[in-house]
Amino acid sequence: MVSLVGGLLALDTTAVGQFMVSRPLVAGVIAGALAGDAVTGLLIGSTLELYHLATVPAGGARFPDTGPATVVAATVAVWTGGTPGAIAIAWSLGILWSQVGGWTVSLQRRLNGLILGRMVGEGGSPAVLELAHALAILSDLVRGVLLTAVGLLIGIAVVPGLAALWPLDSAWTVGLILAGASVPLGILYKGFGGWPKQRVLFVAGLVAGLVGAYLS
Amino acid sequence: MTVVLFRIDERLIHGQVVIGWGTRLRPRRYIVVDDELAGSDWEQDLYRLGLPEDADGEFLSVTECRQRLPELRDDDISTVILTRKVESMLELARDRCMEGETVNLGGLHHSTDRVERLPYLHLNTGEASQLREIVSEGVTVTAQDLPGSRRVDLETLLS
Amino acid sequence: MSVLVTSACLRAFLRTFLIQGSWNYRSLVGSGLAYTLLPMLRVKFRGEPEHLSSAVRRHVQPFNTHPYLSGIATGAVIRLEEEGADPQMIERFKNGIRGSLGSLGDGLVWAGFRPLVLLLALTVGWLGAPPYVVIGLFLILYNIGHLWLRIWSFMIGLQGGHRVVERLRAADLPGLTKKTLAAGSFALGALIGVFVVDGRSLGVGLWPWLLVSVVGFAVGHRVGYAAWRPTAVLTALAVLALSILGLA
Repeated sequence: MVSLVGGLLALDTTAVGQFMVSRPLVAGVIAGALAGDAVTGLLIGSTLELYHLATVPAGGARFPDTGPATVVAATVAVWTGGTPGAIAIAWSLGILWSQVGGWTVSLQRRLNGLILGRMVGEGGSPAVLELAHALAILSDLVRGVLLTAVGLLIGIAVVPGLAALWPLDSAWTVGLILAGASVPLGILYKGFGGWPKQRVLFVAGLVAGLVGAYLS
Repeated sequence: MTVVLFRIDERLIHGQVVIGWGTRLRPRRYIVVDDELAGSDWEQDLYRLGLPEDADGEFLSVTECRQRLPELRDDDISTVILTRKVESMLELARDRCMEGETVNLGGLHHSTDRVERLPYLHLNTGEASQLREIVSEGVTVTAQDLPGSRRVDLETLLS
Repeated sequence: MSVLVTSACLRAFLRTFLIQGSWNYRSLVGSGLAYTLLPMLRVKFRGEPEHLSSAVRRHVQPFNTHPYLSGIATGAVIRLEEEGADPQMIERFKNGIRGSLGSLGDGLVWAGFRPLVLLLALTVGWLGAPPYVVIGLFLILYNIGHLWLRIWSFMIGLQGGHRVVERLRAADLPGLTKKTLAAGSFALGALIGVFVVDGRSLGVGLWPWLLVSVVGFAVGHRVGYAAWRPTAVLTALAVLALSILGLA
């Protein structure tokens, strides 16, 4: 069931719709809720999202596959009790698994090329084209399901043991992950135009955030 | 600021160039070098749509660009030069006009006479030898679709 | 427009949601574009299987576009095919528009609008909103923009044909992108402000992380996207190493 959700979210990234249910923020909450703890899912999803915000899938270059990886991370974090250790190790798995996922997307795209080359080639049969297109979507679903399933198996095998050894408390754990996220957020800021172009609005936002959080 | 990127890419002005390389290099001008496009206003309009707001676009024939190359390499305006054919870049590089520069291979796609060298790079035998000729003109040739991707040198690519 | 053509247009529009279904390194979304155009091509070349096959062969050639703006190409090509335009001219139109649709869409959506709405949702979430409110807010705001863009794109493509460039220029998407990037900068600043004050993250008592974060932010801003993968992977490995060292 969880693997099927991972597969469906994998489809959303590229093949079907792009409604962005595959974003870590959304996938984390969905998977967390299915595992019984949407709040932990949100924490995993948010912290993964902070890293993935800066990635732009321009022109078909390789990009991390966030949907299945976040489903794996959030599910395993909840199953391991949502402790700081569970959050930290599951989060790491989420980052690494999204890289593996990106690699499988590249393989999938090669496979699509083969399917299309074999079936459609230089011929022009509309029915064959539709069949090849449908097969490519189906194989992407299978890829997402398998990616999620294997990720879950690894997570179940690795996360509880390592989580039990985790030395930091909750605040320091989140602090560590956010400190790492500062680099992707700097990259994102550069993408927005950076200090030369966007300093006034950035500083205004910073002040608004400081005041807003202080008052709330 | 000179020419910050020479790139061969069939798609010319597109996301990888404008967002990927553009964010990193912040060029103020994109020059497309192509004999056909240099004479076609309606096609130029299509390509220009993809330019960022703070950059200009020019479309030059190979001959025009060769004439202006010394000036462009010495100019204050940071420039990206794009061709969609290997042949056009070779014409620019002849007579060591681009000595010391690097040519970036960004996207040549599948066709029946081409062999896949990288997922985004397919070359036929003519194009492979043209790339070697570019190197013999004192130019480095590497393949890299985006700034964060792996850079592959020509010898590795063709081996 | 006849009922048959209208229905084919509607099916072609719905197929734009699947245009990337067979994304591949041979033709990028060329096969997806041909798949999207098929309902219309079948109407146009009804009873002419040779012409239909020839049209499919033309359209499976390499093509690329941002998915949300793919309707511009789909709509315009439908219009051109309907008008019986010269296939070579259609090919040149597709070659000219593909890069622009990619760069306009990547800039507006992937680099601007999507992170902007995500930053808003993350800020609301970090301030303590319930999980379903956070993702509900993101999905609703984001998909209003997404669906509007898809519908608008298809309509202007269909109406404009190869002159769609005038409609696109009038819409000033680069100007809209600029505003989105500015709003994104504000939203990013706000989220960072929340992190600094919030006790769970970089707040009181965790000043070492705050110092590391300031340096990290400056590095990310300086190096750009090349720093992304090393940072993400190294942070993940550092976390794993910390646990394994805990064992010792």
